[in-house]
Amino acid sequence: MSKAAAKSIQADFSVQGPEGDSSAAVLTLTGHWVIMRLEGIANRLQAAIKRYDKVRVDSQKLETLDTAGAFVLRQVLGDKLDGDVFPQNESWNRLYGLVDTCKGDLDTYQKDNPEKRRFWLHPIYFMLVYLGQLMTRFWRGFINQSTFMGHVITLWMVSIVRPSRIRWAALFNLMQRAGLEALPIVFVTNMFVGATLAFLLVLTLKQFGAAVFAVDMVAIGVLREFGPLIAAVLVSGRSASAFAAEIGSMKMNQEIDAMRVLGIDPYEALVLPRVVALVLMMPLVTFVGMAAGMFGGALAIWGSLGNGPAFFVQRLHDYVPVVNLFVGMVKTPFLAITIAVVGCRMGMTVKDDVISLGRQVTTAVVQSIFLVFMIDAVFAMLFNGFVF
Amino acid sequence: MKRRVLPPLDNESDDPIVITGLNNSFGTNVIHEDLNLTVKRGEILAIVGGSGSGKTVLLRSILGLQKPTSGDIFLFGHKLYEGSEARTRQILAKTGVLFQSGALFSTLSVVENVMAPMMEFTRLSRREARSIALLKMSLAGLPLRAADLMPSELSGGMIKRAALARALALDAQLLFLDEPTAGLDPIGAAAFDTLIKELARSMDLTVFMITHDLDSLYAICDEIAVLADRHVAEKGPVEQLEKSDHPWIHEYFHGPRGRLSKKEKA
Repeated sequence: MSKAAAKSIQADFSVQGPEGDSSAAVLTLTGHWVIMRLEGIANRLQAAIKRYDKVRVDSQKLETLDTAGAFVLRQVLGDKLDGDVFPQNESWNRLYGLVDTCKGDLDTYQKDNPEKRRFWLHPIYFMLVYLGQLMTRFWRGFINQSTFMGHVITLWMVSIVRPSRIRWAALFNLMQRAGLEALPIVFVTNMFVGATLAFLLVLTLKQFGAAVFAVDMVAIGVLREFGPLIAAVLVSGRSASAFAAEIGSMKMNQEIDAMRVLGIDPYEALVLPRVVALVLMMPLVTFVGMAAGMFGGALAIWGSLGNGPAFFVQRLHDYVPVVNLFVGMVKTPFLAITIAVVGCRMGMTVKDDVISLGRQVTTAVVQSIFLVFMIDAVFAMLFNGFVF
Repeated sequence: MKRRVLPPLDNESDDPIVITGLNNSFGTNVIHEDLNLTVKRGEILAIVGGSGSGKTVLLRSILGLQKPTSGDIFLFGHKLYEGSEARTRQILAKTGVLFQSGALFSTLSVVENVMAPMMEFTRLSRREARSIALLKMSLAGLPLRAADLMPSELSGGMIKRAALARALALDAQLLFLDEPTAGLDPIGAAAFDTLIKELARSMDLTVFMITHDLDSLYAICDEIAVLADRHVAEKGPVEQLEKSDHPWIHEYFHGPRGRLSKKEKA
């Protein structure tokens, strides 16, 4: 489209000062006064008619008008309008009248909500504000998490007294989904971590001529830390998000409300099976992870040192006491309960909109992984004195 | 940033919607068979029909969301599903749609929702767009204090009004309403009907609405098209349809709820 053609479809106007005995300036409107063509015209028009007290509108050359055009005209002309605005065109008059009826509303709104002045503030100020908000959020999250966990544990006690209230079908379904179906990915990941660890250790220990100690270190590392930790991180990624999304979308769909009304406790029906399922399955998942880690380590040592599986198992037997397995396994229920509770809590706090669902799922994963590492660190400190 | 602005359309005189020989089927399930429908400028047309009679599929076909199996749909004389994509988008920019559940963008506040089409299709500055968006909200009867609320904080009636404001954002000439009064209380529904009628009259809108609300049919519709037997069984003003022999139409207007509606009217 040529520039001239573009100009002809643009909304435009011209103003002539008062002539003769008439006191009103004449505003001639041209082109298309439609929303697509109106950019910047309000300010130009405002500047052009500022000097005149009365303005008469000449719309002979105006081609089209829509509510946006009528609105701009109405806003700028205000009380300056002299006579009728569009004497010839009934439908334009109607549009102008329609816009006119909204003027009161808009003026009140703009008076009540003046445009906010923007302050320039130091970035450090914002960082401090953000830090403060983060801390209060963290504290509130901690309180909520504790409350929620207390609720779940109470329910658990009740269900031990009355096993008939446990939802067995849901429990076994969840044990399969959150536990058994996680086994392949946990196995493969742990195997790679074990193998990588072994390679690095062999590489370093070779310098002292102590490469065989790589076996002990891989075994102890995998049993005490890597096995449980990697299994827990993977389960966090898989299950905390799934729990949050499932319960969250049920909440958005008012299913939770429906349960409450039907007299079903959603904590008992939804949260408890998830927590129990994960607590029951986590030791198995972790055990498979440990086995995979040592398997990967054994392969790597076989490859780099040439000492086969028999050597690995022999050294394991002689130098790695079984207490290491215990140290690794004892924290798995705690990690499991944390992951499940965080996931379910985030699901239960979803509000009615889609964004909050996404945000809560993200938070569930982030928080559960963070807590997994924190709890793991606490256990590492507690078991510091357990000699091997 | 300069946004691309398309030249205005020249075929203003054509009928807003012309459908000829429309066929729609999913597998062996035939939804529409040889469906013809014309909507004239300035008309408020209601589509009625039983559940599963293909009202929604028809709407989706006209909106370019679902390509029909065969048949032609013309919007303002422009054939849909043919020609350049920019042209189709431009035609669709002249239409506004009020989806049944509002379909407001949940990440944007109400006024930003109304501004969204303007920011996309015009070169208005943010400030100009905001003031025009407030006008549209006011036209749609939405209290302006709702401007900075998020869609999730609105009540059902306000969501409908906000969605109407967004549908009108670019001064659409053709308005599609999918069950506009569903889920509103009778008073709110009547107010919404009046609003649509007044806006249609003063802005020269053509309205294509799907509705189940008999009160709406009597109050605001010029023409009613009945979808039955996979095509438009009958089209005409409500008085004509009341006298129809078609079994479904007869049941619709003379059934227990239909009669009730008529008695109130009398």
